Amino acid sequence: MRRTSFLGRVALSLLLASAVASNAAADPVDDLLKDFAAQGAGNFSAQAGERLWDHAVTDPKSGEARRCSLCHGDDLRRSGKHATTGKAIEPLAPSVNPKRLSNRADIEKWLLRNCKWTLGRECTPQEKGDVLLMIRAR
Amino acid sequence: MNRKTRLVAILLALSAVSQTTWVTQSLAATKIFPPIANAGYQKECGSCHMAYPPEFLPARSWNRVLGSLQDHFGDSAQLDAATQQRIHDYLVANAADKAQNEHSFAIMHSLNASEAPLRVTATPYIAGLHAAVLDPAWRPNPRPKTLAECSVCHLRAQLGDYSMRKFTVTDEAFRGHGEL
Repeated sequence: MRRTSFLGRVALSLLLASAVASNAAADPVDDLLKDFAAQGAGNFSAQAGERLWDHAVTDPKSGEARRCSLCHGDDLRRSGKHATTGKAIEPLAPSVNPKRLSNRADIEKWLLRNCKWTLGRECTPQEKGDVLLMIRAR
Repeated sequence: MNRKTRLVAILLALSAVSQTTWVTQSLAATKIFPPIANAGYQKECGSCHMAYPPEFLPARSWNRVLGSLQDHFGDSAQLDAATQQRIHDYLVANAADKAQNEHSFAIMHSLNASEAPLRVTATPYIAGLHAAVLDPAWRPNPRPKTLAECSVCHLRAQLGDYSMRKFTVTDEAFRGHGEL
């Protein structure tokens, strides 16, 4: 009995380890960074991502100064609030919200939409990589 | 078929008809919206604002909304083509012009056939009901920046129930609180 359960435990931990390993290999942020590098970006830096995050751009139509924290708040580990509708936005930091940065299509969709709203243009591959590193570290 | 059985058959047929009518009427009488039955709609649209019941706008409005996601009230709400089509089909299939819901009837009744508003709150019926909410003169509380988040005042909006509301204005004549 004892031996079987021990073997069972070994098998289970092996299974878990391989699952973790395959997850790590398929990390969507790593995948994206590779793609951004293939587009000429490189030396991604969380510090640069932080600067872009705090950078304010005046929206020509509304005249309001837009920055990422307007919706996501100053602390990524806490909930934000949509600047227009007031709807709660779940924390962006993967350390408290593991769903974040877990789906490549979602990451790409939000980077596209939110760069356009905040900066009035799409982000460059370099900027996207920098910001993703910054968010991942939270 | 003798006279007696013919009579029974007619009575049975009549009762079947009246039963059908009764069922239709009881469905039509509802003011509650069914839960959102499309995961894509809930996810893609419900991240930034409440995923409004499709029964709030006619199909012609949803066509316009889904056709202008690049500039969705000043925001980009771009979707991939397949997702957009699925959400479009769900919204149009359940739109106000097809829904058996009292609010939908009132919304449709308040619109001209040529009108296709982009906002739920731009339909005359809904706009009229909310005229005081954004008027600073009434010092409304809570005071939402826009009317986009129904659940700020309609505490059971997520359940499709808009009958309960919590909203106050300071003018005595307009003061209301809780369930009316």
